[in-house]
Amino acid sequence: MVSGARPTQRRVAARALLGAAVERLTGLGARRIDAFVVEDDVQARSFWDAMSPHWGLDPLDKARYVRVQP
Amino acid sequence: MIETPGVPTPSVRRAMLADVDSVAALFALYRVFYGQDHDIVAAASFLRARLERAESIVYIAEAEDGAVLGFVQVYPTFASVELGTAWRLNDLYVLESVRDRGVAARLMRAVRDGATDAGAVWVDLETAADNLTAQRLYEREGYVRDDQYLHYVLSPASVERG
Repeated sequence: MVSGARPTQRRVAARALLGAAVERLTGLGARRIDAFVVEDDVQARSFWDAMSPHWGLDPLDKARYVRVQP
Repeated sequence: MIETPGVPTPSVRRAMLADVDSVAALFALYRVFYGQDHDIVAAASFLRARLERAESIVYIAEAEDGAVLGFVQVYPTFASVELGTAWRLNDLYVLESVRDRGVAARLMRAVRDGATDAGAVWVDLETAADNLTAQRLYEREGYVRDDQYLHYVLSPASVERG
């Protein structure tokens, strides 16, 4: 999220940034664009949920695994 | 790791451009598993492009006669918070006829060692939530299920519109 601005400004700025990123990536030929969002971050989830129907939770039931390298 | 007595242990090494055609045969089968058409030419073209541009790293498991038994493909990426690099383990496939012989575990260990050598801070992967066999393998190899993040995707229609 964009820090240092009022909530409305942050959301407008975030939408603009996301839109620019999507435009750039699709222009480069991306067929799939995704994002990982911290589940406990209420503001972030609210933002991404508000991007529906363009964005939504992955409909495929998948599990992510991570191995932190020593 | 599961080893089968009397069955030779496959060797694992990093794939080179010269291996593309032999890996593509398995890559095509892998894609069929995910509902794609069986297309070795397209699979080879994709693999060749990734390797030529150093956009992916592929490890292969080989039998004593050089036959490719399995492969794993990783995509190097970045870890912004950690200010480092990371690896996405994107594709893992072992021929059905040699499964349960430790081939997948050997490939996973090649990824682990490669990521260590490359200085990657983490390796991640995704698998079907109901693929418990794969999940057991990943957990044996030191992977931990991530329940901290939600996965959002841009709808295919939105991607097409750009």
